[in-house]
Formats: sequence, C-alpha cells, structure tokens
Amino acid sequence: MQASEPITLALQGLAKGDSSAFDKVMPMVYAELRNLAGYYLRQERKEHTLQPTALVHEAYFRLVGQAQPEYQNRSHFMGVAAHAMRQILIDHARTRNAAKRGGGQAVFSIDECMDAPLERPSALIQVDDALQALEIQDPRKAQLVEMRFFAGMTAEESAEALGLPVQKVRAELRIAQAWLKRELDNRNKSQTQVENQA
Amino acid sequence: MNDWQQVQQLFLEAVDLPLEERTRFLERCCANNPELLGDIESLLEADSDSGESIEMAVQSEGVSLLDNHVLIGERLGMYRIVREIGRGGMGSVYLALRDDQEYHKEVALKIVKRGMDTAEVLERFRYERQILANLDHPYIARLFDGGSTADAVPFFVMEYIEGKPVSVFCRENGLDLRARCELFIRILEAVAYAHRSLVVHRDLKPANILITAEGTPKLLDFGVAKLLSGDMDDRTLTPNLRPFTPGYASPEQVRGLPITTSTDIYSLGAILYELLIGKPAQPIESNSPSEIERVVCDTEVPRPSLSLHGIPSDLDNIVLMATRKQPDRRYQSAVQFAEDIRRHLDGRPVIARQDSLGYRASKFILRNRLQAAAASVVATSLIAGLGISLVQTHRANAARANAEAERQIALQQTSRAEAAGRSELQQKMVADQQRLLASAQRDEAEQQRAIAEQRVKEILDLAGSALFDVHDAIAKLPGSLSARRTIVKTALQYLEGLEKQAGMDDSMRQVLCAAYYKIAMIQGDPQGASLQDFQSAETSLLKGESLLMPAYNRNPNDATLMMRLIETRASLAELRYRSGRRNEGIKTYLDLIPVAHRLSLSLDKGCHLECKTQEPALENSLTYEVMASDPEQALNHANRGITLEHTLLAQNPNEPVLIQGLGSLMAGGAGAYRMLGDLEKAGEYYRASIAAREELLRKDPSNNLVRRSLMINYGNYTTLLGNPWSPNLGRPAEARIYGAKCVALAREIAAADPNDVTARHDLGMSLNRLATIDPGPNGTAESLAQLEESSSLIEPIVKANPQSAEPADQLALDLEYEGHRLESLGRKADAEAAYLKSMAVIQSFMDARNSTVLSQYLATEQSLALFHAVNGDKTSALNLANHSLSAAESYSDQSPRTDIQTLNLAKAWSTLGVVQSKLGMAEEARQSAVKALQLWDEIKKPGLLLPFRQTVADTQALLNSPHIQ
Repeated sequence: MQASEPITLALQGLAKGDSSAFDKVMPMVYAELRNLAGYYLRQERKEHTLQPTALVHEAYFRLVGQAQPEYQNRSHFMGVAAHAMRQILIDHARTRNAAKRGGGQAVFSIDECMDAPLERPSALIQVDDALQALEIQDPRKAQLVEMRFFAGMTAEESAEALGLPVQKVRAELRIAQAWLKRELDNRNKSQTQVENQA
Repeated sequence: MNDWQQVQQLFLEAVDLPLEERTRFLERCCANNPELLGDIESLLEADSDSGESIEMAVQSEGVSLLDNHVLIGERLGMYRIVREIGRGGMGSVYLALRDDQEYHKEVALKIVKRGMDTAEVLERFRYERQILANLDHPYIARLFDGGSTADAVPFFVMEYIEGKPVSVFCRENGLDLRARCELFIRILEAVAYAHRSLVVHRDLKPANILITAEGTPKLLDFGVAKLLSGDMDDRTLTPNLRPFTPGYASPEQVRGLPITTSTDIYSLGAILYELLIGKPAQPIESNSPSEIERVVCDTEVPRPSLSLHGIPSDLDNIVLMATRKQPDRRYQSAVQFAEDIRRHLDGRPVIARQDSLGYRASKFILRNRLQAAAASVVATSLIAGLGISLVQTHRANAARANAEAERQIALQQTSRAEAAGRSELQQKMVADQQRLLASAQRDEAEQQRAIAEQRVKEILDLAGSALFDVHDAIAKLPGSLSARRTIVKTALQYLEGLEKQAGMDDSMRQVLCAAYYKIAMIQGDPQGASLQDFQSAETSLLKGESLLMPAYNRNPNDATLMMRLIETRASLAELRYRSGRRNEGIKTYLDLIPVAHRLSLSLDKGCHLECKTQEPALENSLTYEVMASDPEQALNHANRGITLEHTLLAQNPNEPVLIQGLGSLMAGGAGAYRMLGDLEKAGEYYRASIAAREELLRKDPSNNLVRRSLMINYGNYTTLLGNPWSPNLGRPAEARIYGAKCVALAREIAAADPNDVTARHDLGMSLNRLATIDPGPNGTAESLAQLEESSSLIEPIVKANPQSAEPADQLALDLEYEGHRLESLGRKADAEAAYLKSMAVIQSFMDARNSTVLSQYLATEQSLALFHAVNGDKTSALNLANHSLSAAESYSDQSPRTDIQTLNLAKAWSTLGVVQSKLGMAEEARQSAVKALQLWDEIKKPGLLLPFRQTVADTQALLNSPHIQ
C-alpha cells in the first residue's frame, strides 16, 4: 500500500525518538479519524454504538494496514491517535457547548433566540480541563491517561510506545486516575457553589 | 504544597493495604503533616472508581459525536430538546419545550438522524412534513413548525401527545365493548379525514394511535404515509423506506402491490380485532418473509367471537369485512366502516352482515356501491397487464437484435472462410448452419415482437375504455377523488413507460394519442365532470398531440388521424378559452376548421356520419366563444354551422345527432341576434331551436341533457318575449306561456333528483323568468308567490357559495321584483324590506367589471328611491337617487364608456328626474331629464334600449310636463 509509506516512515522516526515525526503523523491521523467519524455518521447503526477507541483502531488499519507488523510502530501510532482523538472530541464538545450558549444559533428561528441559562460544560470538557492541569504537574501521566482513554491502549501498548516498564505504567495510571477523579470532584463542588450563590 | 513524588510514593504504598492497615500506615507516615494526610486520603478515596468517570465522559462525547444524542439539552430555534421519545430508521422524535416569552409548551420535535441526511431521506422527510401540513384535524397530531439546524438538518415540530396506545388505553380503563366501538369510530373519523385529504397512512397500529387522558384519539407518525396525488413516487424509495408492521399489514403491502385507502381499512380491521378481544389479529411467529406472507396473505383473520364469548356476530362480520384479503371486498371507505359500527350500536342491520349471505349478495353490493378502491384495483390490474405486455415487447425486441447480431457474425464467418480460400467444406457448412439458425431466430423474434405489439395495442385500448368506465362509475360517488387521481397517475406512468419503448409506428401513435385524450378528459374535461385539473389536462393533450403529429404529417388525409387531431385540439382550444386565453382558444378552433372540412370529404370506408359532423360542431363552439366579444362573427359561425347541418339532414333525415347540433346552433344564432338588437330574428331562431329540441325529447324522453337544453330555450325565449329587465319584444301574454313551459320542465328535472343543486338553481331561475313578466291585472299575488318560491330555492345556494356573484345576483333580482309586487299589493313595509334585502345581497359583489351586478344594484336602489318619492319620504328618495347616480358615475369614469355604463348612467339620471318631479322639484327634474335623454341617445345598440322604452318615455314626459316651465 503506497499510502502507508509516509506514515510508516514517520512512525519509525517517532520510534527512534525523532520529535518532529509527531508533527508529521498527527495531521494524517487526525484527518483519518475525522473521515472515519463522518463515515460512521452516514451509516445506519441500530443497536451498536461506535466507540471512539474502536475508531482509533480502525484508523490504524486504514492508514498503516496489516502490512506493518512491527508492534512498536502500532503503539506509536496509537499514542498519536489518542491525542488526535482527544482533540476531535474536545473540538466537538466545545462547539456543542458554544451552540448551547447561543454562539451557534440555529438557522431557523421565528423569534430571536433567548439566552440559555448557564449550563454545565460537557463532562469531557471538564475532563480535559483537569487533564490539562495534570499535564502541567506531570505530563507523562497525562499522556498515559490520554492513551488509555482516548485510544483504548493497554498498559503494555503504552509501555511500548513510551519505552517504560509495564509496572511503572500501571502505577502511574492508577495515580493519574485518582488524581483526575479528585480534581473533577473538586471542580464539580465549586461549580455547584457558584450556581447556589447565583 | 506537598512534594508530588512523596505523595505518589505514599499513595502507591497505601493503596493496596487493607483498610485498617492503611489507616495505621498513614497515621504513622503523616503524623506531623495533616495536609499531606488529607492529600493522600483524598487521592485514595478517588481511587475507588477511578477511570470510570473519564471513560464515561469520553464515551458520551463519542456517542454525541457519532449520534443524535448530541441534541439533548440543545436548542433548535425556540425549542429546547428535553429527551428522546421515539426513534425510527431515519430520524428521532424528541420531547422539546418551546420556551420563548409567550409559551412554555411541550412539543414533539422530529429530526433526521445525523448522518442519515441523504437526499432520499431528506426528500421523504420533507414529504412527511408536507403531508402533515395538509392535515388539520382534532384527532391527528398537528404540525406546528419546521426549520433546520445550523448544519442544515431539517426538523419539524408537532403537537406532543401525552397518551397511551389505544389498546393499552382500552385495557387500563376497562372500557366496555360499546365504549371501545365509540372510540374506534372516532379513530375512523380521523382516518376518513386523512383519506379525504388524499393521504394513506400505511402504518396504522395501536402504537400510532394514542389516546389522551381525556379520551381523545390522536393519530401519529405519517412517516411512511403516502399522498395519493403527490409527486413522490414510491418506486423511487428504497425498500427499507417503505416498511410496514407485519402484525397490521395488509396483503397488498406484503406483496408490494399498489396501496390505496383500502390498505388502511385492513389495518384498522386488525386493530378493531385487537381492541375487541385483546389479542393481535395476525400474530406473526417469526420475521421471515415466508412466515409474514403466510399469515398476512393466506390466513384469514378468525372470527373474534371464537376467542371471546359475547362478541356480537355483527362485530364479527364487521372485523371480517374490513380484513378481507382482496382490497376491493373490504369496506370501501373509512366512513362506510364507521357507519357500519354505528349501525351495529344503534341496533340496525349492518352491511357486513348482508354480505356474509354469500358472494352473490356481495356482487349486488359491489354493483351498487362500486367505489374508490374497487375501481382503482380494476384499473391498476388492467394497466399492470399493459406493463407485462411492454416487457414482452421489450424482450422480443432484444431477442430480435440478438438474433440479428448472430446472423451477422455467421455471415462474416462464412465470408472470411471463403476469403481465406480455405474451402474446407466442413468449416463453411458450420458457418452456413449458424447463419440459417440465426435467421430463423431473427424471424421468430420478429414474429414475437409483432404479437407483443399487437397485444399492447389491444390492452391499451381496453385499458383506455375500462379506465373511462371505471372513472365514470365512481365519479359521482363521495370520496372517490383519490381513486380517480390514482387512476390517472397510474395510467400516465404506464403511458410514459410505453413511449420509451422503441418501435413506435403510426398506429401506435394514434392509440397513444387517444389514451392521452381520455386521461385528459378525466383530469379536466372542459365540459363535464372531471378532476378539474385543467393544467394537467392540457399537458396530457399536448403530449398526445406531439405523439400524433409525426403520424399525421406523414398521412394528413387519414380519417382516424384527422379525427384524433380534431378531438385533441378542440379540447385544447376549449381549455385555453376557459383559462382566460380566449384569443388563443378561438384561434385553435379556427385552425381546425379546414381539417374538419377535409375530414367531411374523406372517402374512407370507416368514415361515417361522425366525420361529417365535426365541422358544424366546431362552428357551434366558435359561435359561443366569440359571442360576447363579436356577436356578428358569432352569427356567421352559427349560420355556417346551420347550413352544414341542413345539408346533412337532407341526406340523413331525422338523425338525432344532426337535430341536436342544429338546436344548439339555432340557440347560438338567437343569442347573437339578441345581442345585435334584432329581437324578431332572435325570436325566430329560438323557435327553431325549441322545435328541434322538442322533437328530440319526443323521440327520447329519457334524455335529460335535451330536457335541460329545452328548458333553457324556453327560459331565454320567455325573457326575449317579455322580461322587463332585458331587451324584450313586449309580448307578456306569450312570454307567460313559455315561462310556464320552462317552469314545468324545470320542476320535472328537479323532482328527479332532489339533491341536485343545479336543478334547484334552474327551477329558481325559471320561476323568476315567469314571475318577472308583467303579471297582468290579476296575476300580482301569483307572481309574488312564484318569486318567493324562487328566492327560497336560490337563497341556500347563495349561502353555500358566499364567494359567488351569480346566485347572489339572481336572488337580488327576485327580491327586487318581490318589492315591486309587494308595492302593487300595498304592502309598503314589506316592499321596502325586500328592496333593502336585494341591495344587501349583492352589495359585496359591487365591482366595475361585473356590469350585471352593478346594473342590478342600481336598479333596486332606483326602485327604492321611487318608492320613497311616491310615499313622500323626500330625503330618502333624493339620497338614494343621488347615490345611484354617483355610483353609476364612479363605475363609468373611463372613456369611451361601454353601452352598459351609459345605460346605467342614463337610468340613474332618469330616475333622479322622476324622483325630483314627484317631489315638486320641477327645474331640477327638467335638467336631469335633459342629461338622461342625451345619454339615451348615445347608446349604439338599439336593442339595449328596448326594455327601457317606458323609462325613456317617462323622461321625455318630464320635459313636456306642464309643471315645468
């Protein structure tokens, strides 16, 4: 598959620690994920709900294909894809939120739209905010969370991608998850207080 | 701030310890640092379900990205989406709140699923919206609004129904049989309404019929409904867009056969079954197509009473009749279905019971109740036969082409073999054999093609006439409109298919043209009952014409082709004329005259009298079309037609078709003479017309068309002889004789069908013509009685047609003359009331363009002015006379004035003069009279003056009056 050539090269660069490789892979993966999401949107799916993680896996097969047996490349790809997926979902959540606040008014309206009451932001936006806070404190943990939740990567895959022992990955993830949970709970409490004062 | 590394370390050490140990461990490690302890404790607490909330957040955002759930909580226009309440293959329905300042109303919002917005789905969606927009019934969920989202996904907003499916409602509320039947009748009302609006629901089931807490039924989900007249063609829909619910589907749905209103009747029958005994009528074990077909198409719905004792046999029969497998043997309409249940509830015999006596009885019923569904099934099956023949033609054509190709190859092989000089006998023989075989195949295919084409023509002919029979049979029945439209639509589809086939020869063109003509006459016969869709009729006629023309141009003297051309173009001319394109219509007629003349000279064996009568028939049409604009030309056409008819009558004495033509032409000529002011000649022509029609009616007393024509003849001749409101010969005694004949015939016609509105209107007119003749010395009371009868007949028609000026004008004339008669009888108050009512009736139709209404209004107003003058009410008299004058002036301010406008002005001045004179205003009266006489002199058509001879004389008398000096 010719199309897989550039991405394979870039993934190999990524494996060798070439940081500029990330910037090459990211747009390709991002575009592929968006395409896939659009493609699934047009399918009629009754019971089965597609998960973002499944989308990432599918994107790998489409971009890299099975012709690329190197396990390491796949992990690197997934790491990038996790970030891309996060980006896509956050973009979506922020657009949606903006629409709720009257930012993206529906085209059809007989009367002027009234401003909606203050709403809680999407859960994912809160997660992202918390994740950004974690990134400041401990970037690797944030990356592990991203890999785990946005690409569905196992501890082994993350370990492979980051060149860490699996045990270390497991421990770090556990800490990161607890930290995020606490952070989210605190944010929710303060949000409720703001609303009560209002 | 605690050291992050230390926190991590302690967390990992503590997290897997048993709870007691953990507490001790932490107390030991953080003894001097409560802040650190709190930090780690909170982290440990958060560890319990770590990951879940993040996973949920990612998931739900993912779902939102990939699905419509995204909508919940959003606003669309002024609607806030609350939750999903239903979901189908292509869209979802949400509960939404309209929360602007005015309303806080719950609505149902239906929107196409994201990603499902393909052109086809969007089209279907718009179609549903269109259907809903056309339905406005208390038992059908209403459409409120529509729009589209920021990314152009359309949605619409409907009434939100909080209710329960009808089956659940009946069960939970323990409704007894009677209550269930009553409720079901109301559901039928809603369905009947939808059918009247040409909508077939196609997916009726308890889940789509909700009953509100108040017990009101509401029909929902027209998502697969079908508009019988619409452009949406089911064949363009993929199968999954025309789904059905097997438990309530009809055999025709399962088999993919045409859908009519009968389809809903079947589903309703199945629902009634379920309401009666609480079990489904056609339980389906599995969703396999064979199981569905077995249950729906081959298994009769069992008698409800077999499952539940105490179900009356009437209800058994009603359910069984509604769920018959053949659509044409079910109830013919939802109304009939409802009536039958009503009959059962009232203890009267039901139709369904009669039918169960046997098939012979059902035949009888069908004959007498042949209605919508039956007809459309007959028609569609005939047309389906046509489709099969088309396929045969197509196949035969393909086979012929194939055989020809093979023959060519064989020929090539032979010649190649010869050219190569390889004269091996064997090779040449094989090639020869192939060639012969191919030739034989080609000949056979040719033959098959000829047979198939012949069959197409036969069926087309048959379908054409059958379509007409069926259409005529159902045309008068209530509710047949949708079936008639279906007939037309189906027929057109097949004709279009037929044209696309190759091998169109001249006879085929002729047949197709005839078929289009027939369809056009169903769509919009300008002179008969039709669907009144004149635009489509014109399209069909033009289509037929364009098909015919190549054949006609090749063979302009072929009698059949000429006939087709005249038939098609004459109808086109009539349609054009009637749609306001008068000159275009007249020209189309005129251009046909030479064709009709050539046709009359045709020596074709198949050319009988029909070929000869086309020319006078065209002259007859032209007579009436140019009458208003050019009476002289009208007279010419009439006279040419009359000459032709006389010639033909000399060769075919007593031929009814010719006598009928003559009668019509004579009446046309009479009208033209009347307009030209030659009343004596008009009278002569009317008498000839009357004689022709009296003769026809003697020969064929059952011919109501002739009876009505004769009645109209009598009426017009009466008016000519002595109705004072029109140019007349001043022969009231004779007029009364013909007026009486007119009334007698009108009474006969009206008595034959008491529901015939036209007949009642005709009788009212006839009585008016008789009663508005000068009644003579002792006739006043009788005249008044006749006028009162007339107005009692016309008044309901006026009320029923509030937009229509003609009946109002007629009623005003009645009332004006009631006023005159009442005045003669000395009943002054009644007379004044009658005049006032006359004016009130037509006041709203006053319009400069409608000279008839204007003249009538002014006439009554002037009568009332004179009435007041005679009775000494000076102010009223002068006010009315002056108003009448200014009204006449304001309606005739353009120049040059028409004769009618001048006439109105002259009359107004005359009246003012007479009023002034009666009030002793001699000088003013003289001046008015001078004005009036000047105006009378301006009128060019002497005939117009005749009815006003008395008024003119009175005006002249004003000048010579001794009071005026």
